Amino acid sequence: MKVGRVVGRVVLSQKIPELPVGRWLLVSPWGRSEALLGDRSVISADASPIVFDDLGASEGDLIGYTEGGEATRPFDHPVPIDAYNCCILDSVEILEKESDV
Amino acid sequence: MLDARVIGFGHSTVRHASLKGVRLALCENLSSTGEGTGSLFLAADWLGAGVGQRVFVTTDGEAASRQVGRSDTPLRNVILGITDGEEQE
Repeated sequence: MKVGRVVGRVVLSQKIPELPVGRWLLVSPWGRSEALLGDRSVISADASPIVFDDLGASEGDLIGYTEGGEATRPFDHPVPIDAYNCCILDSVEILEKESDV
Repeated sequence: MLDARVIGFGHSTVRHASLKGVRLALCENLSSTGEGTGSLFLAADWLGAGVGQRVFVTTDGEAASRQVGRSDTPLRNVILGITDGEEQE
């Protein structure tokens, strides 16, 4: 499960029927440098994946998301999804330092 | 299999139903020399790993789903062991 910050949303006007109903989040990956910087507005230089969300994460939230085949496991039928939002993080503590989300 | 170090923990209330009660350890990937690479991930921890400890992590969703006991879990990373030390030749 990777950690990322929700930096935007993707809205589809048309979609294939296989795609489940939910929200699509644009997520900026969160690494050590972003964590220690503590600046919410910083967007990672790494590519921002689009993550399927059925938990209700909103912009600015820190989430844990899974990429790859495991992203499709929560569904009972085959879905063309690459990344799935597993949890909305309330807080992340790094070593002794508590950083607020 | 990943070689990583626990650098903290993630806390969340809203999570996938299969992850209820699972402790989420924030880990940093390690290079071959044992230094942190800066990329972070969350792993399910049933062993009680502490901050600073080096851990051995699987990336197999199949193994993760057996641990959780549910086939619908999106969980991928599970801490399999806590590393004591490493020998390099």
